[in-house]
Amino acid sequence: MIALLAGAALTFSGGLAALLAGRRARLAGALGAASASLGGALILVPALEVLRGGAPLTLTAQLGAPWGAVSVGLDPLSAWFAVPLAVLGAVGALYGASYLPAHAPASRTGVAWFSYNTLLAGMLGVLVARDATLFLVTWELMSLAGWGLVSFEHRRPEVRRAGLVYLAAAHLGTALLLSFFLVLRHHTGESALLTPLAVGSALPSVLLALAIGGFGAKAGLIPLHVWLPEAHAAAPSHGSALMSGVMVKIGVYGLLRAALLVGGGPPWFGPVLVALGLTGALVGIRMSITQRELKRALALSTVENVGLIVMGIGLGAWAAARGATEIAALAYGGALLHVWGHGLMKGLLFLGAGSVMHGAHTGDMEHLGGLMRRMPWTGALLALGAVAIAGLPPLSGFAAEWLLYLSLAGGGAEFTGLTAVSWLVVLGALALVGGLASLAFVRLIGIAILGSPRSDRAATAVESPRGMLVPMGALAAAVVGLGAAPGLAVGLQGGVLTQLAGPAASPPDLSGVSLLAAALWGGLAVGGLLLWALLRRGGVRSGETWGCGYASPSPTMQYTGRSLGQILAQGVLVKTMTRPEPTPLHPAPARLDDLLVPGLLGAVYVPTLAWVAARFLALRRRQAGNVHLYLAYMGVGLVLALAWATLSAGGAP
Amino acid sequence: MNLVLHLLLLTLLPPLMGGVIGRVRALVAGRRGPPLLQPYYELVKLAQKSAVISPTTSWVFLAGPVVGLTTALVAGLMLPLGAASAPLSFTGDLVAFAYLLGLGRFFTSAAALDTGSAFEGMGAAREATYSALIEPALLLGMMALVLSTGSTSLAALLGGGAPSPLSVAGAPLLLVGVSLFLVLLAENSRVPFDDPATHLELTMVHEVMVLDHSGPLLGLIQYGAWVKLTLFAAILVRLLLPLGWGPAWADWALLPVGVVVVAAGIGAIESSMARTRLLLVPRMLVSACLLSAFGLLLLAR
Repeated sequence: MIALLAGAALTFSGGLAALLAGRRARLAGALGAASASLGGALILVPALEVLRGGAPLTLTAQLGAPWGAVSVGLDPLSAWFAVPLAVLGAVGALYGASYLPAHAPASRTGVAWFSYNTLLAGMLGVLVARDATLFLVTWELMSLAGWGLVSFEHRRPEVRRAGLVYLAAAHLGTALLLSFFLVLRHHTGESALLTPLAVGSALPSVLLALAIGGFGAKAGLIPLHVWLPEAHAAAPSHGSALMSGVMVKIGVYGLLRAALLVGGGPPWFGPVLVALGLTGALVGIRMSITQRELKRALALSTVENVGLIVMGIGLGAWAAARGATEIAALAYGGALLHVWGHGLMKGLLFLGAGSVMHGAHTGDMEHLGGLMRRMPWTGALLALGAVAIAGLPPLSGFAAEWLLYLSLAGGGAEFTGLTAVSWLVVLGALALVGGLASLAFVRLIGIAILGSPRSDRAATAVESPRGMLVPMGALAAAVVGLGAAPGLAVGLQGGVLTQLAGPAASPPDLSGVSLLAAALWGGLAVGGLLLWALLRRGGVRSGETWGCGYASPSPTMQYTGRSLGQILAQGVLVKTMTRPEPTPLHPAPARLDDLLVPGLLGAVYVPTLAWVAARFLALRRRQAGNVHLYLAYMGVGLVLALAWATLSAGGAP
Repeated sequence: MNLVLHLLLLTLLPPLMGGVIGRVRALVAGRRGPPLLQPYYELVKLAQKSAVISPTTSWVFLAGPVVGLTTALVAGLMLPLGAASAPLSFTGDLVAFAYLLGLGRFFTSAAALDTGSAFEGMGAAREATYSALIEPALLLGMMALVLSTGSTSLAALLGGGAPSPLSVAGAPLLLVGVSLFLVLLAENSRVPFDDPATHLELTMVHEVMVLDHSGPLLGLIQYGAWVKLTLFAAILVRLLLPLGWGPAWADWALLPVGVVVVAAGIGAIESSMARTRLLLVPRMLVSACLLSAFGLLLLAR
C-alpha cells in the first residue's frame, strides 16, 4: 500500500513541480516524465503482487474535518486495471519527454505535464478509493486533468470545441454518479464502496441505471460516446494514448464496481450491456472507416473496443445470472484481457500517430503515404499495432476476441430459447465487427503508411527521434508477448474472476492460442527464409508499379482513404459547401468538405443542450447582479428555513 | 505417419484443384485443355524466375505473399484431413481458423496498397469490404456445426467417427453446406463472385491486388490461393461425406477424391455462369450469412 500511495504521490507532486517550473520547459519535462515513469513503476509492483494472489491491501485513515475517514484499498479488480495504467502511464511519459518539446511552446510545457501526471494520479485514486467522497473527488480530478490535456492547443477553435464537449460530457457523467452515491447513501446509510447491498428491492436497478449513464459517459459507451473522437484527437499524442488506453477503462471499472456493489445486478443488466456494447462496437468501427484524421479514426476504434469490453461484461453478467459459471468466466476473462490488450495496442497506435505527425507534420491520411520508406520504424510499429487491434493472431487482440467467441459458442449451445438465439446473433455480429475492424485498419496503414507520398509533407517526412521510438518499441514488444503468451496474463485473473463470477470460476486455458502463435511465427520465419532464398537465386529487378500503360501516373491517382471505405460509406458522407458571408474587404475562402452526416452530437445533443441553455437564460433575470436583490433572496431563504425548522420540530413528538 | 500423410496431402494436393478446374472448363468449352498437372509446372517455373519489384514498395509488399501462404498452411494444420485428428488442434480452433484467413487477407490487401496503384487499391477495398461479410457467414456456419456436435474444435467437428453431424441434423447442415460453398467461392475469388481469368483490371477483385507481384512472389500467392481453396473444399468434403466407417486408408483416400469432385463442381459452375455485377456481390454474401443463420436457428434449442 505504501508503494502504491508513494507512486501516486510522486506522480502528482512531480506534476505540481513541473507546473511550478513554468517556462523552464526542459526542467518541467524532466520533472514530469521522471516522476510519472517512476510512479508508474512503483504502482506496478503492488498491483502485480495482488494479482499474483497476495492479500488485498486496505488502509483507512482518520483525517479529521473536513475530510472524515478516508479509506483506500487495492483488491484484484482494482489491481487488474492499475496494471495498464502504470505501464501506459510510464511509457507515455517517456515518449512525451521527446514529443512535447517539438509540439508545445515552452510556456505550456508545465501545464501539459501537470495535466498528464494529475490524470495519472487521479485515475489511480479512482481505482483505490473505497469511500464515496474520495471516489468522487479523484473522479473529478481525473476528469479535469483530462480536460487540461484535451484543450492543450486551446488556440485552435476546434480544440476549444472539443474541450467544451468533453467537459459537458464529463459533468453530465459526474452528475449521474453523484446521484448514484446519494441514492446509495440514502437507502443504505453506507458510503463505502465495498459492502455489497442486500438485494431484493428496486434499488439495484436504479443504481445500475445511474451507473451505466455515469460510468458509460466516461467509457464512451453509446450513445454517450460523442465526446470521445473529438477529445482524443485534440490531446497531445501521449495524452491521447493515456485517455484512450486507460481513462475510458476507468469507466468500465466503475461499471464493474457498481455491479459488484449490488451483487451481480437484476436480470436486465447483462442483456442491456450486451446490446449497448455491441451497438457501440458496430457504430464505432463503422464510423472509424470514414475518418480522414488518424487520431479520430483511432478514437472511434476505441469506441468499438470499449463496446466489445462492455459486451463481454454483459455476457458475463448474463451467464452468471443463469448460473453458467464457466461461460461467465470465459466472457469476463475475454473482457478483462481486452482491457490490457487494448490499452497496449491503442497506446502503441496513438504514440505511432503522434510520431507520424511529428515526422510528417500532418495527421490527415489523405496527405500521408509512403512513410514505410521514410519512417521505417514508425511505419512498422504502426503496422504491428494495426494487425493487433484488428484482432488478428498472433498478436494481443486475438486472445480476447477468441475468449468472447468461446463464451458465445458455449452460451449458444448451453442456453435455450430466445437467450440461445440472441447469443448466436451476437456471435454473428461480433464476426462482422471483426471484419470491419480489419477493413478499418488495412485502410489506416494502407493509406497513411504505404504507397507513395500524397503530399510534399509526406515526401519530406523524417523518422522520429529514438526517445519516441523506444517507448513505442516497448509497447510493441508487450503486444507481441501478450499475443504469444496470453495465458500468463489470464493466469493472473483468478482473483478478479472470483470477485466477478464467484469462487467456482477459474481462468480459462489459453495454451491453444500460444500454440497457434508459435506455429504462426515459426511458419512466417520459414516462409520468409523461403522467399529470401528464391529471390536470391532468381534475382530481383526494380521496375515501376504497373500503371496499366498510362504514361504519366502520379501519386494523386492512388486509392484514397475515402474511396477505400466507399462501398460501406455510401450515403453517409455528404458534401457541404461552406461559403462565408461576403464581406466588403477581405472575403474568406469558401471550402468544400466531405462531412459525416451530423451525428448524434449535431442532431440531438447540441439542439437539446441549446434548448436547455435558452431556458436557463430566463433565470438570468433573477440574478441581475443587484446586491439588494441578493439580500432579499437571503432574507426569504432564512425565513423559509426557520419556518421549516419550526414546523418539523413541532411535528416531532 | 499420420502427420506425414497430413503434410503431404496439405502441400501436394492443392495445385491439383487448379488442374481439375481448368480441365473441366476446357472440356465444357470443347477444348482439350492444359494437362492436369499444369499448375505444378507453373509453380516450378515461377519459383525459378526473377522478380520485378516497384521502388514504391516496402517490406509489406514482400510480406503479403508469405503471410498469405503461411496462414493458409497453418490453418490447414487445424483441419482433419484423414483418419487421424488434426496436428494442431485445440478447443476453439475454429475461431482461429477464420481469423488466420483474416490475417492472410489483411496482408494481401496491405501489400496491394503498398504498390501505390489505383487499381490495386480498388481490389484491396473490394476484398476488405467483402471479407467483412464473409467472416460472419463462415463463423455462423461453423457455429451450426458446433451446435450439432457440441465441440468447438475443428478436429472434433469434422473428425468423423461418431455419428457424422449430417446424420444428426441433416436439413440445417445442408443449408450450412450451401452457405459454406458460397463462402468457398467468395473467399477464393471464383465465379460468380470474381473471375480469376479476367483481363480487365476494373472488374477484378483478387487478381487485381496481385498485379505487381511477379516471379517467386506470384508463385507463393498462387500456391497460397490453391491451398486456401483446398481447405474449404476439405471442409465441405468432411461435412458431407461419411467418414470413419471403413478402414483408415479409406478416410485418407476419400479426401483427395472428394476435393477433386468439388473442384469439378467449381469448374462446372464457372463454365455455366457469368460473374455477377460487383454491386450484387454483397447481397450474395449476405444471403450466405442468412443461410448459415437459418441453419443455426433450426439447431438452436
